[in-house]
Amino acid sequence: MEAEIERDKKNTSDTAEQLCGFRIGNDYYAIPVLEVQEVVKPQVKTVVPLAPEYIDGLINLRGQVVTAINMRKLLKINDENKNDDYMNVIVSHSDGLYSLVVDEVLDVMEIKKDKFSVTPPTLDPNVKKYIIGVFKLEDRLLILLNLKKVFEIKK
Amino acid sequence: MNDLNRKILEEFLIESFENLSCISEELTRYEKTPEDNELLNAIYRKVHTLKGSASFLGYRNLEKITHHTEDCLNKLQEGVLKINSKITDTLLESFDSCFSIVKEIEANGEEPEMDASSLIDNINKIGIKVFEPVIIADEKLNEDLLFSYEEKNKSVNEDHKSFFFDEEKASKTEITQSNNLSSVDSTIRVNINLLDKLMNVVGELVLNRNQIMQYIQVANDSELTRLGHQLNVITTELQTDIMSTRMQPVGSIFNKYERVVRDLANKQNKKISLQIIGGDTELDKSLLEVIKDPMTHLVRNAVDHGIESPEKRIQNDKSEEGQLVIKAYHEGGQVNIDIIDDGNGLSKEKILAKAISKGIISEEDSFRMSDQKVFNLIFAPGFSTVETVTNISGRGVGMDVVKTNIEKVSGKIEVISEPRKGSTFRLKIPLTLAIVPALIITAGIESFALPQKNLVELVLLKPGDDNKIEKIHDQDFYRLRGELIPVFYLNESLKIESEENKENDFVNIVFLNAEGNVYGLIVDDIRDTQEIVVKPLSSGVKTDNIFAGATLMGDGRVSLIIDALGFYNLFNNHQEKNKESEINIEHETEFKEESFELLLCQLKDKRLYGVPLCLVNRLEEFNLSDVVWSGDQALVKYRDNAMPLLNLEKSLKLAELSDLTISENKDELIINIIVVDIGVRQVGLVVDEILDIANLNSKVDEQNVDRNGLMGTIFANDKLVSVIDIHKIVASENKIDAQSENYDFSNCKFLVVDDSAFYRKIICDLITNCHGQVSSFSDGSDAIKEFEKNTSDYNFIITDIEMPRMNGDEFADKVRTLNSEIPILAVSTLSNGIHETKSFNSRIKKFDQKQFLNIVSNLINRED
Repeated sequence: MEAEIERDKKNTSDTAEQLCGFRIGNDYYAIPVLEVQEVVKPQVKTVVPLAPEYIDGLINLRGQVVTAINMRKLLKINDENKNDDYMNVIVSHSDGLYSLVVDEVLDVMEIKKDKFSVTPPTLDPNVKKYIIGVFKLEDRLLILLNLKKVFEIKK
Repeated sequence: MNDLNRKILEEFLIESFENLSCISEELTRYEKTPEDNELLNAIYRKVHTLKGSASFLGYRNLEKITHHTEDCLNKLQEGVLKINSKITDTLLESFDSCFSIVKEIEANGEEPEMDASSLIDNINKIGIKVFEPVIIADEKLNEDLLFSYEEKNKSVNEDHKSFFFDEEKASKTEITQSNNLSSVDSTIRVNINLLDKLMNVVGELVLNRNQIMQYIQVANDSELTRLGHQLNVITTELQTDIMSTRMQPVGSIFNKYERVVRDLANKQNKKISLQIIGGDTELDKSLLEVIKDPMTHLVRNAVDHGIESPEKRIQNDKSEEGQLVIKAYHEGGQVNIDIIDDGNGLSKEKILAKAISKGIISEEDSFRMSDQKVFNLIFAPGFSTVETVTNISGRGVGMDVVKTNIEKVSGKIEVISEPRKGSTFRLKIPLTLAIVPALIITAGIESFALPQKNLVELVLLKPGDDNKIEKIHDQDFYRLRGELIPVFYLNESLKIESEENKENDFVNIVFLNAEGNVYGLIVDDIRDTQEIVVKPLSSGVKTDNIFAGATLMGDGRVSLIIDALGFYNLFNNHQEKNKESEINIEHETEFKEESFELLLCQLKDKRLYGVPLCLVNRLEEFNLSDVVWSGDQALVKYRDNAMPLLNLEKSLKLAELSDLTISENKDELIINIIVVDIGVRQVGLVVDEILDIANLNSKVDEQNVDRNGLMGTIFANDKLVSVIDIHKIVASENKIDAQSENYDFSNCKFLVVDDSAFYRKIICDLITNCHGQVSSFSDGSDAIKEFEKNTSDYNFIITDIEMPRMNGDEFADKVRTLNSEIPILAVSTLSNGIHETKSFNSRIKKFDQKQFLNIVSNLINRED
């Protein structure tokens, strides 16, 4: 019985992936749900002078300093219809906590791997490097972010 | 072994380790103060307890050794024997073997096989008659032991003790003994990681408390207020207590040096008395661990190199016995530890000679160095002042390790030394690593923390006193007691918008000291000092090291901690950077062999002039009779076009005039013309004589330009050549339409990076001639900064490849991370090294302006 459950789990993890989706601008992005520590509402931000543009600032998450990365700026999505309504997706990394500042957090989705395809080569290379690939959903495309590259940019 | 036994064994181990760990130190201390009977009693008691436990648990060897040792101590107590160094040695040896036996028991649960007879013989040799343990004593001991294990929590019964001590001794020792017991009882060992975690949790609790307190003020509920205040008090108490758990008296490590000093001094036949002051000063446990080894090294050094041999001391009119003092005390929010010896002091001459011979400094440097700087040389890697390296103070790799270790915990080390009077090594250690006292200041709406260790003083300028801030070029200075100190506006430096409506015009200046560099920061407001908890920044926000970390303020906001040195380095080195770049450029020409060619010619004043060969199209000769005049403009027919001739003498306002204006013998006179390309058109330069082509590696010196139309001077084959700035001359001759009709770069902003002023100028001129806008930089890193700031302003980048500090490849790669579209054109005059980086759109190997303009316009059009 237990073995069966174990095998079931394996099967699902082989073919499907649990993703946390969010919206940035008009596009839908996702990262593996296990990477997400939590999602928090907008917090008071402390601006870091002279830091790169995409660093939104530092926020205090229960005593821990979190670096907020503005995903719009990082992915060069234009900032026009900017509103104050955003969410912090908290992600843990080896050198501390980061918050991905996104416009809206969607549900956790379980998506079959056969819907996945690699990044089209025609994308702007500056944006392409942050993307692993795309999930072709029925009504839209879900872009899988490469978190490793997102954190690497600063080095 | 059953549970009870195991428990007893554990108790035995803990107690024995504790007793043995300080017994050697106590003995060495007793050796110096033989009148201190209480100390001797304490030692005796410990040995006695050990003996009792050993016989109870059946460790025969341990029992034997301790028995003999106890007897020896007994004689000392009775005054039959007087302590001397030989007795101390033997006793120390016996303690050491006890310690190793107990260690063995801890590891294997059994006493090691060993022959204690030689040690016992040694004890006997000091002339003490030793009796074998008597059975009665054993019984008594067992009784005592059982008592102490079973009824440990009760205070020790005085009656019971009188078995072993006479009345007098017992009354003296009672208090200390019961103290000992209770402190053993009330101590537990806690993993330091757990304490760290507790600290963090308490930190969060404090923040949470602060938020609740803020809410209470708004909520206006009396019961809630009462509860809130309770929470406040409890939290504060908890915080203080948790912090104090990490603190330990420095004495716990100092006492180890008693033995170190004693052994070393004996080995070297020196007489040294060690004095420890302020051993109860407390320091964070993790810091203690870090400074332990560096301190051992310094103490060893003081004994080995510092204090002289007794004979030499007498020669120098000093007492035979050297004084070594270890002193700990609080000063300005940190703990200072002084290691003071009254030895020979550091020899400035010897240090300098050594440093020069080791190549650490040059002889020239040595004359300019202050005493302090000379002393600091001993911390340089690979330095050792004693000719023969002893096995005691290491091999001279030590001192720099000492320094790095101390600096690792953001401490400092200072040397004060007087010849023949001794030296002092002063360690300045922050109280704890995690908590730093800091001054909170504001700039705009943001508040920042400045670590107090960097703080020198605060100056408040009243309204109207602003003029006390003086300017030299763009740099502000303030005269602080006559000394000119650079000041920076924090707002401007950090590009923070300041609140416009400043009601008062008070100016706050915070003076900081960053490793000897004193500077002022002008801030909007100074708040108060706070103990802040330092949190590290993630790699993404480390902006040129101007921030040392972040901290959480009482209101839950994050504030950045300014790194005084990082800030100074970033904002003060403009001048230094310039200096540096000049030096670098000199070097650079040596190894890069970047060159350019000049066509050398002579004008009527018989001096040498140079025209950049990259602009030269052809050299021609014309008959003067071919020259036709259109108004004041001389023209010749050249490839079916009328080519304007430039009278260089006239343009440069030289006294002599060229042959152009001569009206006689026109047919016979040949004039030499250099045809240069200006844009797409050609202009003929009339020169007296064309001499040679010089291939030059050096820089055009732009400082000796005495007139318009010259770019600068340069030496070619040891002769001074004035380099002609053709674009300027052409531009000043309005009549010639030098601008290119075919190329129009208006609406284009160019970023030009070239370390050679010569090419920079030519490229810039070419672009401006075609209506383009240019910003030029001599250094890739400066250019990239500008590009980062105004990425969208630029639409074309031209870069050299061989540049100091940041070469063209790196530069282009950096540009690509910011903008992948912008065309990048590489211009290189270096023919060998083949760089092919994907980042470049195109590359010109040999500069030719036509090709250059073509490529530029192609790339721009491709853009469109």
